[in-house]
This record gives sequence, structure tokens and C-alpha cells, in this order.
Amino acid sequence: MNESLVVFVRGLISFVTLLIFARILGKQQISQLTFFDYVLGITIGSTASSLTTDLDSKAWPHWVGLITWTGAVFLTQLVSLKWRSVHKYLNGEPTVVIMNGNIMEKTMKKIRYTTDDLLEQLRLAGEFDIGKVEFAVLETNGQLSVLKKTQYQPVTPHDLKLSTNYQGIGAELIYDGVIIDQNLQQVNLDRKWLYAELKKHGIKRTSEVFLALLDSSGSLYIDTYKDHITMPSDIND
Amino acid sequence: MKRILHFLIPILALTISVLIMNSSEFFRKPRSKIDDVSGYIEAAKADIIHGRLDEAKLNATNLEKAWETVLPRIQFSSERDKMGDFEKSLARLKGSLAAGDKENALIELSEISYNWENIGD
Repeated sequence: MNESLVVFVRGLISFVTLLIFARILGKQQISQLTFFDYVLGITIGSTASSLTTDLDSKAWPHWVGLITWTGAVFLTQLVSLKWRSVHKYLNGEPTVVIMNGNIMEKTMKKIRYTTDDLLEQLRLAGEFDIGKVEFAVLETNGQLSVLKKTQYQPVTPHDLKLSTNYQGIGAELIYDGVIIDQNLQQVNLDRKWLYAELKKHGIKRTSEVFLALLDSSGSLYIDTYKDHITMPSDIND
Repeated sequence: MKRILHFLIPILALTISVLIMNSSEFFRKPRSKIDDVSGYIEAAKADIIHGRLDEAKLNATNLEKAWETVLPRIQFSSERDKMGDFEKSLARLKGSLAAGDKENALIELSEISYNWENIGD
């Protein structure tokens, strides 16, 4: 038995399967995961790992385990989407830990959430003075959402009745020296226009460009491979 | 076309994976006389029962060669310890035949037969 070859093939099977299953399960980021999601992720990862390296058992039972867990998570997601009560039951509910500027000690005790945890998460949320907080809600993923008292909230252009310009999402026109025609068409422009713009910036070939972005105001951001920096700043010790 | 490929590639990848993981039954079947493991087990058993130890030794050697031919095909869908058990029994069978111990040789052949039937199950 060529163990290395078998591990290689099983590793490929495991990798492809995980990749496909992860795509099926969605786009939740690590920071958005609930504790249960986190544990699920570890279990699925561990099963995939066994599938690769546990040569004393067949790959198939591990794969069945993998598909069972993924299927269960997918089913839970579907059920949670359809029934709000199930979603609440499975994922828990956000907990208010500061209400009208008052710390909810009894609630915190119930969920085993300490004052240190609260102060730490407030600091992480950029709030160092608890006296400025009107509401703080501990979300199901463990993050703290903070609402400041109105007198401490930042002034917005809307508050000052100032008119603002629309700001959309920039379109990538060149990436790694390659023109993305699909994006050019979406913003109703063509290669002719792009070449003219590059010429204005003293660029002869698209291969000189690392990234070209067009923002919603119509201004073009261009980054070339040649950075013309003689002394790059070093932030390391 | 792009949309079809979007679904077709993962389905194809998963199908190939499932087929590889469950291919032992298919790959255990002999493709020629050289890799007929079951055939050599039965032949060796018959030789021992009828006292033809020299033929039994020859069939045991052929059985080892057949196993070595089949092994690369079934290794992706079988358990390492079961394959190890098969090889250990085969080694004991050769030892028993060399010693002229018919009883033990039959016991080992029976175990080899059992292991062979269970590999990849």
C-alpha cells in the first residue's frame, strides 16, 4: 500500500468536498458565527481531517459523516429561514445588557456574562466611557452592539441638513494587467476610453497596471507595478 | 453554458469522489488469471486438502502476486488494517506450507479468505 498516494487522493477528495459543502452552506464570516456554528465548523473540519489521514478506516464512512453534518446544518438553515421561532430556539436571542444607561446585572448573571466582559467589549466597540452608553446588546454571535446616548452621537450631514453626493461601488477595470471587459461594459465605457485615460497618466500598456478602479463619481484610480518609492517605510521593529 | 458548468463541475467532482471511495468491490474482481485472488485461495485450499503441498506452495506464491496486482487498485477504497491482516495471514500461510503444517495452512487460508471478502466492505 502506498500510504502517501492514498493520503494524497483522500486529501483531494476531502478538499473538494469541503470546498463544495462550504459554498453550499453560505457566506457567513467567522465573526458572524454563533457558538453552535463554530462547533459545527470544527466537527466538519475534524471529520474531513479523519477522512484524509485515518487510513485504518475507509474514506466512505467519514464522507457520509461529512455529508450528514453538512446536510443537518443546511436543513437547520432552511428551517431557521422559514420559521422565526425555530431560528430563535436554535440560535438564541440577543440580550440587552445595558438599558437606558443601566447595567442589567440579573440578565448578565443569567447568561454568565461578567462586567469585565462587558467593559472589554465596550472598549472593543470604541466606547471607553460607559456613562455615554444608552443601550448595549449582546448579539447571538457574541458581539456587543452599542447605542450611544443621543448627546454623544456623531453629527451627520443629515443632522446639519447638508446635501451629499451619491457614492456607489467602484468598478475594477484592470486587474493584474488584464482589462475586465465585462465591468467596462457595465459602466458604459470601452477600451478606447480606457486607453485614452491610461495615456493621460503616462501609461503605454495595460500590463504596466496592477489595478485600475473607476468610482461612481467617474474618477479613475490607477496603481502601476512601478511604485517609484525609493525608501519604503518599515513598520517592523 | 457557464451556469451549467457552475453546477456540473461540483456534481462531477462529488460523483468521482463517491465512485473512488466505493470502488473496491469493482476493482477486486479479477481482470485476468494473474490477479484472481479468490481463484488462488480456492486452488491452494484444494491442494492442501488433497495433500499436494508443492502445488499449494506454487498457488500461495501466485496468490501473493495476485494480491500485489490488486492492491494498487483497491488501496483508495479499503482499510489499511484489513489489508495488513491479509498480508500477515499470507505470510503465516507461507510459513505453514514451508513447515509442511497442513492444519495451520488451512486455518490461515480460511482467514485469508475471510479477510479478502471483508476488504473494502
